[in-house]
Amino acid sequence: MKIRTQQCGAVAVVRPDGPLVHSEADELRKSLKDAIYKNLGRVVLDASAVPFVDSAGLECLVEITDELARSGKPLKICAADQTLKDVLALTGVSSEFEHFEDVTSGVRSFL
Amino acid sequence: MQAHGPITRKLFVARRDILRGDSLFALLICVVVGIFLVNLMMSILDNVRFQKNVMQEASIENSRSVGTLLAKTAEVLLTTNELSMLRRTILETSLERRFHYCRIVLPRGGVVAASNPGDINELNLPDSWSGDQGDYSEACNGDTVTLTFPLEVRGRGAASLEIVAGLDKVGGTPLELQTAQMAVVCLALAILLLVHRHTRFRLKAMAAIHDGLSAVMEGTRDVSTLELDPQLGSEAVAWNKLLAARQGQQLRKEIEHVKASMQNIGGTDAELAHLCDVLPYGLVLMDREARVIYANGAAAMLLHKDRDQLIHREISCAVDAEKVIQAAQDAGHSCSAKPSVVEMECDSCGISGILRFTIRPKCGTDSSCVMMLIEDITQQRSAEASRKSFLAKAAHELRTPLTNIRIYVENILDHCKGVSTEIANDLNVINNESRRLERSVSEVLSISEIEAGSFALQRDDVRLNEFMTSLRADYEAAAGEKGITLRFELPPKLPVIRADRDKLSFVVHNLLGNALKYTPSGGHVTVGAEVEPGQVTFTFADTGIGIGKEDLLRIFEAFYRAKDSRVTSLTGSGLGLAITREIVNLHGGSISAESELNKGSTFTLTLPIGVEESGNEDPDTTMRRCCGSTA
Repeated sequence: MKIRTQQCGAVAVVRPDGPLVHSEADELRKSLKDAIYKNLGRVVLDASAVPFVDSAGLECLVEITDELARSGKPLKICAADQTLKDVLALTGVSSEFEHFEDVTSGVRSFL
Repeated sequence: MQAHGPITRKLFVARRDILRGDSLFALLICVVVGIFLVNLMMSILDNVRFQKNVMQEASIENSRSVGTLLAKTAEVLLTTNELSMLRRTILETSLERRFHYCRIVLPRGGVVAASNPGDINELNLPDSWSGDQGDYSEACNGDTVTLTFPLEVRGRGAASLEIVAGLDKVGGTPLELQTAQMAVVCLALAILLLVHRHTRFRLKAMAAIHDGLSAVMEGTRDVSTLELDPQLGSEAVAWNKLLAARQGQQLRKEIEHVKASMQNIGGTDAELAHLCDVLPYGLVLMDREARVIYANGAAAMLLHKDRDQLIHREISCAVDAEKVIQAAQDAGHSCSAKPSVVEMECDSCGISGILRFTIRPKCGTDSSCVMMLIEDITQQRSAEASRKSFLAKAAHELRTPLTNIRIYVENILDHCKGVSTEIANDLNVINNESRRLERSVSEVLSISEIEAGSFALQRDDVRLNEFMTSLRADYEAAAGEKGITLRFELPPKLPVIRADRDKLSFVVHNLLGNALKYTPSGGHVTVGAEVEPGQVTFTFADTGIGIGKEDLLRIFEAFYRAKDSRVTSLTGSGLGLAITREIVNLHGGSISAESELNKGSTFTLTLPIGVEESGNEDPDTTMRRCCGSTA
């Protein structure tokens, strides 16, 4: 999985490219934690290129959400496609994330 | 009650302790067992004494029997003058019976036979001798008994047999066993005393606890009356602790009940802590010595510390910014309601961000603490910087073509005489709008320069008399067209000051232009001036629409315009007063506004006559770049 981290102003936008499964979840977890540490929690997950997520990926997202929740911040997921939204909804964790239609909206939410 | 002395009190306490339940029972048991043991000891002593007497009697009787037999034998042998036989018999009997001494004594003292052969002084028995026959006698002397038997030697005379025999000592296995029993009894008695001494205190405590429990069962709620003397032992101490814990629990329940009923929120500390944890802002509570007593999750994240690393530590361990530490320490020793705001930029170890610390003390009746709110304003600052950059670039890019448009339009109007009136009017409109747009762009550029810190003054001597005369000339016509009465109430002589003419011109034009702009027809605008030692004060008063209280607080902010529809209907950028204030500040002066809605406004401008350079830095807000501050 290719993960690209881009700075939009003071916000880090983490964009994984590919299905979020198995070992890729560990890679994304590492990237997100690194971005959270360096940017004091100002992180947006651009899920526009994530076609599918399995249990390992969900676990990764929930773990990152729990870590952010300790500082009162939700994980902001942008541009998630319908499949990802359905998976999050069916597993009952959708409400733990903050959803945005696009990256710009997610970045602007930090203002 | 004073009549009761210490002895009386001690007796009362002793009586209470003795008569108290289990304590009395234990005392009775100990007394009974003690009496039994003492009785046993006395019996053993009597038995020992009895056995001793019996054995002494038996020993004497034995010696008496042997002596009698020996006396009869001696009489026969003395009669037959068989001294050798007699002496051997005496010796063997003495050895056999363990006599201390045995001899046959003649009346004159001669010893014819003895258990000790050395004592014999009559080797041969005389044929006859005189002397009376003595009587049988017994004499006990301590551990020995002396028996004297009279002898009658026929044909010769009287003699006597003396035996000194030892009394058998009281001993043997039964006596030693009894002595051992005696020792055991004594030991048991001693142990009983020790046990009684130990259990007496314990049982007193148990009895007191029993009394306390009985009192609770009877409905006693006053815990203080149930407390026991700690000297009664560990049970009493434990009982007192239980009482204290119970009392504390009841007190806490009552406090919580009162709090819940007073505040009507029913929140507990845990719930409050949970609420604080979901705050996106860092919240740190410190004591008066700037030691952290609470930090929420956001604070831990923003300061890059674990909570354990924050709690009970000084704030200097968490934040490496002198101004923050100083502000926290100062707040701990003041009750000022004004918060201290410190902004700190972190740029180390790959961490980047700008944090704003708002620190204020919380003074209470029972305790005081310092509250520190931490906000991550990095994104806001980034957006602000982008906006400023965009404005500066846009204004710069716009100003050049606008200037060209205006110049070309003016050239056409000046040199092209043959244009029609309609075209000339259109060109005039273009010219006016270009000027207005150019002015707006200049204001935006000025604001950009102010925010970038590159806004500087070009000082020169400004003669205020001429300056104000020029101003009057510029605006009289405009005021007349709008039907506004414009008055200049100036002193005959105004000083010359060192100032930037163009920027000062912007200030007075802006203030007077606003006064005319927001004053309806028929109103009055008055420009006044007053020279004071070291400064000159200008006032721009109008009878216009006025400014609301909320708007009055923000009219000097950039891009701010009042919400009044009478203001928004007129063109304006909201930059004029912001630039004005900045120019006045740079001149070392001040500007203030007073206004009442629908009645008018008065702006007061004060400028120093001997001008010095001045900054406009807000003392409470300072940006500080720190390295490794939150690592």
